[in-house]
Amino acid sequence: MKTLVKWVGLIIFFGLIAILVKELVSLLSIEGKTLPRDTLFSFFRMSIAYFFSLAFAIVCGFTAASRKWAEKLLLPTIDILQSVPVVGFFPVALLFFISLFQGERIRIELASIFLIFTSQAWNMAFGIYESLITIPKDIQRAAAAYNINKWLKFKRILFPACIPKLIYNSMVSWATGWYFLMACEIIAIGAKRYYLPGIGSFLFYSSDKGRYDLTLLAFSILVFIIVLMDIFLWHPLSVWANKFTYQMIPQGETTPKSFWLSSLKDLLFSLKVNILWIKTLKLLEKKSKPFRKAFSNLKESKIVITVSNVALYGLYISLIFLGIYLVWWSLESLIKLLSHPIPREAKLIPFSILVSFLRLLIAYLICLAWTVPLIQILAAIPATALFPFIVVLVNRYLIGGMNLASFLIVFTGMQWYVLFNLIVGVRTIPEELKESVLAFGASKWFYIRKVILPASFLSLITGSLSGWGGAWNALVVSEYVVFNDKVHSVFGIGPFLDIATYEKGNSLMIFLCLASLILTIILLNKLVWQKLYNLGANRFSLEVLA
Amino acid sequence: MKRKKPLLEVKHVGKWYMEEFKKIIVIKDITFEVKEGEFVCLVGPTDCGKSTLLRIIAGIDASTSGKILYRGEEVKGINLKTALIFQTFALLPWLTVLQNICVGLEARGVPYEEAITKAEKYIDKVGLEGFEEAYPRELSRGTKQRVGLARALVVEPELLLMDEPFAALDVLTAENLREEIIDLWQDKSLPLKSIVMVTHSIEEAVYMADKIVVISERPGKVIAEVPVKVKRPREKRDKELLKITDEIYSMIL
Repeated sequence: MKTLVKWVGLIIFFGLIAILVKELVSLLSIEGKTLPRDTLFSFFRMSIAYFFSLAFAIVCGFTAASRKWAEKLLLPTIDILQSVPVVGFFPVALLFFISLFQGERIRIELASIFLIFTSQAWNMAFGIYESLITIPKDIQRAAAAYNINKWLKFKRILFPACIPKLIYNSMVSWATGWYFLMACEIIAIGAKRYYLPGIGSFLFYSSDKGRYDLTLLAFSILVFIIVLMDIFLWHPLSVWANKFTYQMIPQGETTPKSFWLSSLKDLLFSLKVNILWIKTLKLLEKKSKPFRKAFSNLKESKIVITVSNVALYGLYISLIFLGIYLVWWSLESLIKLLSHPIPREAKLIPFSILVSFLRLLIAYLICLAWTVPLIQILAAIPATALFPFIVVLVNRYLIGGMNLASFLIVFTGMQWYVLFNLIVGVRTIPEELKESVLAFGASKWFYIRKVILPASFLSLITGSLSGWGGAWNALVVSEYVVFNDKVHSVFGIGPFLDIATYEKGNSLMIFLCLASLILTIILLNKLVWQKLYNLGANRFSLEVLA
Repeated sequence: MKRKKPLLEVKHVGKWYMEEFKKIIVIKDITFEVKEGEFVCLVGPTDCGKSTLLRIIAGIDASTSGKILYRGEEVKGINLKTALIFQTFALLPWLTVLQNICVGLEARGVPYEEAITKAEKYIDKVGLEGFEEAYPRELSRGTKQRVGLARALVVEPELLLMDEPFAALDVLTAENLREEIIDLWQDKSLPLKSIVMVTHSIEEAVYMADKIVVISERPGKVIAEVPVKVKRPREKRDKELLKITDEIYSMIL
């Protein structure tokens, strides 16, 4: 009976989707006919940026984890870069890519990909670094005892250890990438604006012109793609990734309680997505065996070793030159910038940061107020499935007043970092710890207060740290919005930066805004979050349990 | 005279769940009872569902068939006359020993001040004086399990449920704690009547229990109920005990 209800429910669900798709198609044929193409463009742009992020994350993560100097240099740098708003990278992106390439389209296209990259790369690098330094000591010692070579160590120990966090962070990166797509596909040079064909610019353009229906349509397509990716890519991958976790704490079976969730899960399994994936992977492994063998023979030959060493040194040297050039170039531009007179409105920057800060604080408190009581239910939902819901929330700003709107965007920008981290935190609480309190017949609130909150305290701090980073970022998108050919803005640091970037093209103003913003962010990180984390690290860590 | 109702009756209890369209049966039709004043051990191979069964008795896990009777009445949800002790101790690392012990009382709405007064009696009984303000991470494993024991006893259960309580302890510590638990169980000043203990060590079960319920491999079924009628205090090398041990080994292997 129950299964019958489930299947009827699913049929109705898909029926509704079919109707929706039909409606969409009829709309598409009139005004949105560029949409499929735009979506594809955006998807490719995201994919390219993602692969660069992946490469960046692996290189940075490994370097930071294996060399002391790199750890000291790279981690703080990435930490700061993470909190620079996407718009903050505009001047760099433009000046750099425009000085490197010819041809309008390719320059802007590359700048856009770079901007998407800036919203994706940092957390992935952190993820890899964290996985590497938390490999259990016993395993490292075993590797040392067997004296295995570097390549084998990478292949069998280091890289597999990174997979769970890498996949999880890839999900987050794609989510943030989609979120900031709007800002990344509209490139301003001076007072001139370029719209790259893509779903982000489509969204911007249609809401700019007040075409609510088209915006909604584009949003639906976006949500649809995200759901598809979740079902066919992220879910199977995260199941597969479980294989690579060093599970220290025995975990009980987690049975999802939600009806829809379990139905969807059943459906997923009936589609055999997971099995298909694993089969493909196995087949690939088998087929590639002769190639890999040839490759490993080749690798051992002297010539190849020499050539690769030379190439490696060449790469290092050119990287050093590139670094020197970049430093020189930025110093030069900085000096040029500072020789301009300081604009009068620059005095308002500190105050505007304060106003923005207060806005963020309120958003943060609300964010905590609703996630914490619901956290157990939310923890049962696959993380990226929440994204469509959040996008719908963002969509609301088209209706509400500007203050509410900017607030909602900041809120959603902050929301899922906090949420994702809390979910991970709650999931790692050992079953027996939960049971120990529940078995006394504790009330829900008592249980949350005594177990869930303290146990996820550290995850909450980590989440808050990146949440605030994301929120400063979202601020720039949210405090200044063009809708229906009218500018809606509230007082804060966002409009300053936006006006300087999009309208005036005033580099000095951009620099001053960014510098003060970054300073504020670093101060907050050092004085608030890091202090809190250190305070909690001793008391609320679950590692001492066993 | 009418026969006295047993403290706990487990009647045809089963548990299964679905995974990837496959029905996985954890336990299947388990029936046994625990009399007032009886010490019952559940033994069986790893994964036979004995821990799940213990959680069903406590009421934190639900069975998919059958029912649990307590003093003749069916129990739904958490049974407040029971308390659990865990293999991994399951102490909250952010609370002191005293706060950990008081958690159970607080969960039932007793104000903290009152809970402390009650806790003192059990801190004394279990031998934790001087550790009140320590945090779990500063304690040895044996002391941690003592805290677990005090936390369970302070809510004054009639039925104590123990899930492999000695498995994470070293041999000597485990031996001492076993004796102490037997003493506490026989202490007439406590409301504690009966104990159900899950263990994979047959020797331990034979040494401690009045009755041993032997459970098969997954899906778990009751293979046998073996009474142990040797008087306490028992001697480890007692011939009768060794005979029962061999008997149970031959059932499982």
